Amino acid sequence: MVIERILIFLLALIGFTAIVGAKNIIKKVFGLNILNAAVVLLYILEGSRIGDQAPILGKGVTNMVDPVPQALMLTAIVIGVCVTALALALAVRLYKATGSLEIDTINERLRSEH
Amino acid sequence: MKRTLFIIKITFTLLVLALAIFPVILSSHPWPEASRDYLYEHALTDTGAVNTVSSIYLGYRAMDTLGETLVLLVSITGTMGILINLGRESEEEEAVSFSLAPEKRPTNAQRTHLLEVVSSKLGPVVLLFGFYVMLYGHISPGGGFQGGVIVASAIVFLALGTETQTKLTNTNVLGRIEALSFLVLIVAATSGVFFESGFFGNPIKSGSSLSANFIILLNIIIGLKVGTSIAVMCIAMMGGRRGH
Amino acid sequence: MSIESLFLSPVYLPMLGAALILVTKHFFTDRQRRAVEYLSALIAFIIPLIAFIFLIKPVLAHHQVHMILGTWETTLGIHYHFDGLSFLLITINLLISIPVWLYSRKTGPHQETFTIIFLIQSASIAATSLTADLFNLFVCLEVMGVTSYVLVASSEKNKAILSSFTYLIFSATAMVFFLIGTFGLYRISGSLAYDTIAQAKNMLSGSDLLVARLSLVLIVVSVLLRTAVIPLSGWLVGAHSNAPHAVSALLSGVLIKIPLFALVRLLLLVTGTELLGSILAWAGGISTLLGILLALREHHAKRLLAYSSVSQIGYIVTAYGLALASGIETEEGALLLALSLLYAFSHALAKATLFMTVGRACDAVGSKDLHVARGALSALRAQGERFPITGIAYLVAFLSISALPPTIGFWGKNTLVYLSKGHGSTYFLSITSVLTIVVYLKLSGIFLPKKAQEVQKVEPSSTALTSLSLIFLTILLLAGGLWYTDLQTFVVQVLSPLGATNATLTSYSALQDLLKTGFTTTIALLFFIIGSKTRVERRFEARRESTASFPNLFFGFALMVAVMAWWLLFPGEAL
Repeated sequence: MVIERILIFLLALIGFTAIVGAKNIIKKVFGLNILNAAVVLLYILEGSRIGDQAPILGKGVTNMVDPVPQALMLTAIVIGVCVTALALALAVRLYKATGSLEIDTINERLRSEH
Repeated sequence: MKRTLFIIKITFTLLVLALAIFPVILSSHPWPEASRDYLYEHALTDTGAVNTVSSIYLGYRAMDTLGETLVLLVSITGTMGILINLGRESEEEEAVSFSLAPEKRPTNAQRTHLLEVVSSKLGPVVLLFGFYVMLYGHISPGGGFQGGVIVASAIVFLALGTETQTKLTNTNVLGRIEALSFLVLIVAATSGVFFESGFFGNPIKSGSSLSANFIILLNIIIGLKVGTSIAVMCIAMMGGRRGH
Repeated sequence: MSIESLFLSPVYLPMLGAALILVTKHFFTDRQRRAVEYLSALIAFIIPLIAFIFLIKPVLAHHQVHMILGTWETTLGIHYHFDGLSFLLITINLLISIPVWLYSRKTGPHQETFTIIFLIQSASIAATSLTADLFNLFVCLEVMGVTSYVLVASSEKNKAILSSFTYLIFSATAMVFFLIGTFGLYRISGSLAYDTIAQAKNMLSGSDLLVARLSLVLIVVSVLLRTAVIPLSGWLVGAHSNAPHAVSALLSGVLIKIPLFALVRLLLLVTGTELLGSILAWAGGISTLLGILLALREHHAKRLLAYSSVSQIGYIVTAYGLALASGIETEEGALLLALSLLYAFSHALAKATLFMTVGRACDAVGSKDLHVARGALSALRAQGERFPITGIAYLVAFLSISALPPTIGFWGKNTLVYLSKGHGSTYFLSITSVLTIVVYLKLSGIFLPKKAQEVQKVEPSSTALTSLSLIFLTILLLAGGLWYTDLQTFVVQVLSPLGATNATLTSYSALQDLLKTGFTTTIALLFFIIGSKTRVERRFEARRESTASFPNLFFGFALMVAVMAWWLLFPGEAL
């Protein structure tokens, strides 16, 4: 149905707005996660249109969903988590260095450094 | 002036990218069924796995899984490197973090006896469940990554719970398991090259019933690698001793 | 030894090396780990290089291998394609990685895990050059990206952490758009392999074609981000200037070029990319000029070099765009692509050498500010360098990047500009050639003698490995210049299966270009002398370092998407 995809589109847009517009760097990381989640949902939702049973072969399984997007998204989810972990570690380090989590303050304080 | 410039930039960015992804997301082209049909016929005979998702990411597209494992390795190494140096600077600061042993814990750490008792009892159960998910990945939903993450959370339970350090929460031991499993993974992947079944091909592939063993082996190795590395990172973030 | 195991060796051997180092790190002592690092570097770099020497003959005979990893018999598997392009890209990577790694032994980051991450990055570069599968490209680019973020942050300076964070967020978001593009393309074609996708796309029409083109635009712009062409270059200055010297050398040398050429494989098979090529050519031309103007304003040595990278990548992208615009199947297109790759090689050599020598010089003098840093030669001698290798290497790299004989840069840049004549953006290229010389004259101030002769107490540091790496690069720079015609014939021959066969640069006159070069250099010298004497340049200099802000970065991204989306409305027309 179209309404689900419109909702996913809005979710992606919200995530992207957070990345670009948010002042707090942790919120940017939130936005990245939301954007990732939206795309994962998109793949799996669309892949499930062609069937209605889980993609595990067995007795009575005749109409399974497309397993390819699910396999791809496994990889994408893990990569998203790893990048988030790295981003959060960098954010903690920036906080320790400048005492602030706002991107403008961080820029100012680091600019005056050597 | 600066504010209006900022708003113009952001509006333009959002507008353009929203217009760019809107048609792609709402395209009404029918979803292709060819892969699903192919897998329905051949997944079991090609790879020995009943779970078709496992047959894809550990069989047909195993190189992607290898890349994913590399991303995990590099990002956890990087995170540890960044955070460990942090710890060294703030030795004197009062650590508002969970510690693993009572003598390292400051008095205001938020940990209660209830938490310790319950999680130390739950830990082994979750560990067992994690190994189940790992080993049965080719038959039921699950697999190396999923099982590995459950194992990692089990180790975190044990670390949170017990008052004495078991071998399993020692970062030295976990690091060694991680390194060994990574080496075995790369050797398994490369062995295909020398066994004439291509890079990351199944070296035992011969149509016999043994071919599922390769997938089980991969599941175990990946599960161990993922589980131990995430556990090491969580324990380091909790303030435990860095083992190396 | 099948041919597969030979050309896949730069993928699995570095991984094996990294695994060995990891095991040694956990089970043995530090000293043994350092020894194993040398062994792993040998396995990861020297053995593939030897394997590739055996592959020269098949590649010259236009032997191409298209295989599915794991020998599954279906398009569900991951397609890999080995041909002249992969051969050249991987060779460039190996030839730069070896001296950079040797240099890092003494100067570079001293963390325990540096070599592990370096080797994994090398493996991912090789995989990117070989892959013919869209999702595998995604995974390989992510591995390349994550290793870059960690390597940039490994200098542990706070500015490096900020640059790494900015680069991370920007690049990770772009990769999500890449995924959306992949979604679109998988939907219309049912497969992730380049040839199946292209086949399906070329038969589309109507709204499906719109979706396919939009997806392709999203993918192309996300990959172009890593190449840092204007307007997508905001992240590069921070990342390349704040990283450790060895990392800057590798990033500027190799990592900004590989994604561009890996994209060629996909774009080759898709029809109607002429307008895309024109857009790229203009973007490249603007990059060239804008980059060098921004470099002129800088007085921080490494930021100057980073902006210069933006400018030089403009040359490469311009030639690449023109190749696409005239169609790679034509003789002209194939030649342009070959020259683009050759210039990428020569820039990689020169930029890596520049970063390494300037890095050493600034460390010896103790400052990166060009107003203050002087007397590097004597400082380096005090540190134990008996023969001024750093100075000589800097001189040769300077000659190469300013396109002066007898280096490879002279031939590379001039042949490129010659062949690109006739397109509007090439005027930018000519102006930039003059300005490049001015900028590098400014940079060379580090090596001028100091005014006051103070005796500095510096501890002597052993320089054997560093000198070895610099000598290696200098030899390559000079040899490339002396044997350029052979090199060019080799590259064109090797790349020709992509397009036309037997294309040669016939009507090129070196003598004409020597005169032109002399003319350019004289103008540049005049500019420089006038500029520094009248202190005009001080007025234009950057007051404070500009940091890339997120709205600006994403504005650039959206701008590029908007311009490329123009392609959708006017297919098949060139600007």
